[in-house]
Amino acid sequence: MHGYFRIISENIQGQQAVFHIELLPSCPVYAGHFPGNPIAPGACNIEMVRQCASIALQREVRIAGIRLCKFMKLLRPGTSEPLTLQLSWQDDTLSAAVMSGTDMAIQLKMNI
Amino acid sequence: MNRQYTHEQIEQLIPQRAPIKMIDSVVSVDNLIVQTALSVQDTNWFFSDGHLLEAGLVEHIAQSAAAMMGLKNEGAPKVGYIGDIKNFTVSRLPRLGELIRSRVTVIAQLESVTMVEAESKIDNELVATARMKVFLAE
Repeated sequence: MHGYFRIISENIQGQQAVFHIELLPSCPVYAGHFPGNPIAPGACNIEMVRQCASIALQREVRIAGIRLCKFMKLLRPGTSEPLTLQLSWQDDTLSAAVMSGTDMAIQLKMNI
Repeated sequence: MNRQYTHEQIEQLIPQRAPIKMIDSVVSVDNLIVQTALSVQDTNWFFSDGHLLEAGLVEHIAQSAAAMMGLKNEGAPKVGYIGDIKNFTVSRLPRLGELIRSRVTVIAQLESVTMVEAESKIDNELVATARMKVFLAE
């Protein structure tokens, strides 16, 4: 999943982290999702969360399960404001929230 | 109504295209159950380090559900979105060359919202399960 997003800043403290992220409109995935109508694929955003969690936890995080993932806002690369990804984790649970401006875009609770 | 769709014909059912088309074939489909297959190739969008990533299984299941919804719509397939995912489990990541077979069943449907339950297997081994709510754009 190359070239899908860019981390603008990251702040990792204890068992929490905040990333500011830009979705890249040049990403080849938008040729297929969807032709002439670029919309960030929900599954790509799950992978983006996993990659940021791997940075925050300083190990390759694997998703054993997703207890709940809600997509509340369509994200279009280049038009949406930079995203804010908030992560927190304890034992085998990782929680993530993705905000687009002041709108909640994604809520995710996974087993890692 | 129970049909099969080849690789090219799938484009009649779903709007996703390369590089993020995540179904190779529709083995059977009717209004309530769809069975699909995906072979894990290194060209896959969600392929990484010898495996298909967890998110690849999510997208494959979502597109399988979309294929079933596409059956009901004449003409160009409508764009669909994942609304939510519950109880997604992964027992292991599919490896290069393995064939994933998925069975997605409708458990509830209300206008443009469809709730499905999915199982993905490699041979007889269950590798992923999920419940998903999928929306169709009007």
